[in-house]
Amino acid sequence: MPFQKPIRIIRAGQPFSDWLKLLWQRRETLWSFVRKDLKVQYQKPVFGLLWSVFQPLVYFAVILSAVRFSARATSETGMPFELYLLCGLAIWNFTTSVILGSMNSMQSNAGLVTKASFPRFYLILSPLIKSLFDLGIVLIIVFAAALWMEAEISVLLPIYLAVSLLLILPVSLGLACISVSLVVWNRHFRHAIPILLYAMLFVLPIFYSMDEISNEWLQIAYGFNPIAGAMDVLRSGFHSSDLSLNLLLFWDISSTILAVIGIGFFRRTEQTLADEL
Amino acid sequence: MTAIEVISLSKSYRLKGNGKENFEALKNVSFSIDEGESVGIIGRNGAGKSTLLKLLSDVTFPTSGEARIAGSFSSLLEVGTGFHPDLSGRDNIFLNASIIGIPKKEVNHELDSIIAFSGVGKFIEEPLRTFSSGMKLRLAFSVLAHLKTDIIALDEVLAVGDSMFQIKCMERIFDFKKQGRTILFVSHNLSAVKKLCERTLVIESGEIVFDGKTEEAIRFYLSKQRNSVSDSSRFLKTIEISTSPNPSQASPNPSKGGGTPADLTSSNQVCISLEIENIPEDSELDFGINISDTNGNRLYHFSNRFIGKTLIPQSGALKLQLDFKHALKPGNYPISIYLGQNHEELAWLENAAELLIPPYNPHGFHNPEAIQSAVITDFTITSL
Repeated sequence: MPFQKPIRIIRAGQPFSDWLKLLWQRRETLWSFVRKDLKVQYQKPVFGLLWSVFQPLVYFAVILSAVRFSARATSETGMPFELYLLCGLAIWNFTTSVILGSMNSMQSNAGLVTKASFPRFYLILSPLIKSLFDLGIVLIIVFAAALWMEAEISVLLPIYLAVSLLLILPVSLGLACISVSLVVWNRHFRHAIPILLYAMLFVLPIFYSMDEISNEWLQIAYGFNPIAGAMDVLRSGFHSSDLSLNLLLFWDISSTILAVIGIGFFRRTEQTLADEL
Repeated sequence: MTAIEVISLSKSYRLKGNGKENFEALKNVSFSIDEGESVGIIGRNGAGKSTLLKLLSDVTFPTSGEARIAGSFSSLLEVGTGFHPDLSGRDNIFLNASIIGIPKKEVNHELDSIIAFSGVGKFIEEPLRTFSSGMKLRLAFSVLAHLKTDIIALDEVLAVGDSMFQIKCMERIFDFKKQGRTILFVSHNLSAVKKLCERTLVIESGEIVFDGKTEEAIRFYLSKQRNSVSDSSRFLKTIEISTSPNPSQASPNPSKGGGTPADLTSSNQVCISLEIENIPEDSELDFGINISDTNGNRLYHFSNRFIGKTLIPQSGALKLQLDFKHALKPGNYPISIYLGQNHEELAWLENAAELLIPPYNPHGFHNPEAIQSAVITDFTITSL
């Protein structure tokens, strides 16, 4: 035989290694999805920017005025309350937009899923990358606010930022995979999940600090909540208190576990995605 | 070398409605296709044609079985997959190409040619929503036309667009074929399948029921359809078709030719007599007969309305006789029957019977096989 062409085998159940390989081989398609999302949003740059920071800033204004008018003490946080709040909202907004973005991308690309072949995981990765871009813009605002408020800025800020991202990325990815799988399994979850995400606004230490909570169980739950962890790690860049390495380890483990579970779920969902949509 | 090998491939869908019922869309399908072959896939809607292509294209996964594909493969299950209305024509070229798996480098290399081929001109920088639907189609098609893969699977791509567009598509597909690429062609357009493919698979309820020469496959498919005529056949009690002159008496020398054009005036008669029953009421009946060729092209249509003939059934039954002079070349011609009452359809009997035109040669052709279509004899040629 003069030359052998590469052979593609189609069968039930795709090994994980093939899945990863394809994810890498077709990366151009992922970039074109991301480019499409960014281009559509930033065609008018002013509006594009506005939409990426609109939600966190609106919540910022609402919560700040609620706290100010109720004359609640805000000294517990060890840093300007506005900055504390912004850090929390930046992280919450990221996770929320990854999850909602993935659910949305799955729905709006249903036609594509049933007609074309590309790694379905891109439908989650591309909103994740786009949200990361938006998070960058929000973080610039956070940094500008810190400068303006003359807050303490740690020299370790880049490291804290990196650790915070390492915590929030896997957990957001995992939750997005789980949410998408739930929606594909039963479409009623489409309505339930956004409600849960907004409930997170109050469950997570966004406008209060865990130091104010005395309940032991809630403290333990906090130790396993990598989203809360990512918020506090980011905040560590703006005040001098030390991070507990134990907590960091717990957060890291739980974040990784969520990512693994999520990807596992998604790999199952993916098998029948084109049939279910 | 084998390009596609399918080994007992099955696909079942879980039906959500009632418990754990499964729907088998594809059952133990096996076949293999050689490099450079053009293979048609025909079958009724829901027979499993699209499922097969989706499995081969990795859009969905099989329940069991296996398929091996040697070489690069691209499938076009849709024209303009992934087009986004807010992006420019140029951006959409890249987006569409990346989704159907054309590398960016290749698109960059051929961009000018793709844009030129699409003929959308200066609109290329405008958002896609400003395009007319024809322009969108042309843009999408010019991306497909630049595909470089070894194997190309097409699913009803020709079903969209006007006839000019379809002709252009078809030409391009023929180019693919000339370049020696393997083509899988799913279509309801039987004459397109016949033109393009030497071999055709007939799929019925998830199984390959015929795999062979296209002409035979089409004949098989049409005869299957005839056998599955539903309960509407209760209207047709009997149908008899006779052609005159009888082949054994007429055209004494069918292959060499020997008849004269004059034969045509007295011969080539068809007589279809039929008995219709179970007509709901004894009011005026609309009756039509359609004669197609085996590619599904409709050739002749007869209707009592055309000649202003009123038909009134007697206690729900009617005996009819249709006589006409044909100019068909020898072959098989499926006949479909329309029955209507009060301007509403009562029944459409698709392929209710078959008209067989035996070999004859009244025109004195040396090679009667070369007659391409129905023959018209009522004309003159004058040398000036």
